[in-house]
Amino acid sequence: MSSFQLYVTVIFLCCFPVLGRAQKSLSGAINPSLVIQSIVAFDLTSNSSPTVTFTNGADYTNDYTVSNFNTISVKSNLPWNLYISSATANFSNSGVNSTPVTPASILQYAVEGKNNKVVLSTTSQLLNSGSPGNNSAPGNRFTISFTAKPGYNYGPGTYTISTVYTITAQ
Amino acid sequence: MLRQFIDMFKNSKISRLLFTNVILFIVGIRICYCQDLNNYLTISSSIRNVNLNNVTALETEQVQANAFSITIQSRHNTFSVYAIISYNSSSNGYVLPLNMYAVKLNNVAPSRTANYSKIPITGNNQVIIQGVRTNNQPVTYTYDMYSGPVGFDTPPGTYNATIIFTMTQQ
Repeated sequence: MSSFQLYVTVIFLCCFPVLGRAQKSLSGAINPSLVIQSIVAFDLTSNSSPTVTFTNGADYTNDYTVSNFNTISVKSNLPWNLYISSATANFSNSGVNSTPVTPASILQYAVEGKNNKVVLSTTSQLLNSGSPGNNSAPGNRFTISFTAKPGYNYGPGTYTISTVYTITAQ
Repeated sequence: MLRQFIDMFKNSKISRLLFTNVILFIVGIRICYCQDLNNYLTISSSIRNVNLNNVTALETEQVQANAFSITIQSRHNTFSVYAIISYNSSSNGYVLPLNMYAVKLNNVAPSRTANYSKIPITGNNQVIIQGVRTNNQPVTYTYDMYSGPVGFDTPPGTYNATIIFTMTQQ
């Protein structure tokens, strides 16, 4: 074997082990991922009886307000809007002297501490807005009051209506 | 013609010197890589995307058991494995806080003394493994992966991260 052939042989013998071992490493990595979906939610707590009894004349003509009626706690990772509506256009009524068509609009809802009042109807109307955060974030926990002013247009009886709160991302 | 080239090459003093240097160089490299044959770290990952799609998921820490394994062989007296996190992309440009992930040792095979505490992974290198030589038998450390709680201050999106593990030896 000539010296040249010897060199070539030695080089090959050296190279192959080198290539085989170069795959080992002293470091590595993983790639975790978090997928965060849009979350907008609220809890509703009833603090007062939803039954209002009108017992004297002043109750019919003055605003009859139920303060601290509901507490709403919002948890959202997006800015949010809270809407309110009635399930039906009119109250359901019972009693021989009750009035069949008593509109939802005799009720008004408001966020306590804010001035705007929402007259109830089947159309969703903006009641409150807020920022992302859990229910301890400023503005994400609040109470709602409602006011009833039926006047003398509706006969004695029992009237019932459902109120619907809806929250959405802005 | 090839024969002439080979004859010219093998009769040249420069070419012989070159071959000698190449052989020495390759042998030197080979010696370096020989350390990797018995000193290495490999990662085996079964990590999944963490999908946070409800209020509870945002509010609680998510755990993926046996999320990844680190297999180590080290013939040095002691070795350490460090972990560091770097977020490399998100779908919305928002950067997650650097305390979003933690790892906790679930199992070591074959059994040996190890740190089973939960270790937060941050933007600075954290020691997660300190051990003594493994000799000829690789040791596999299997970890649980913790993420969150994300909370409601992080906007919706997909957040990808890279956690790099590096072994040092003494």
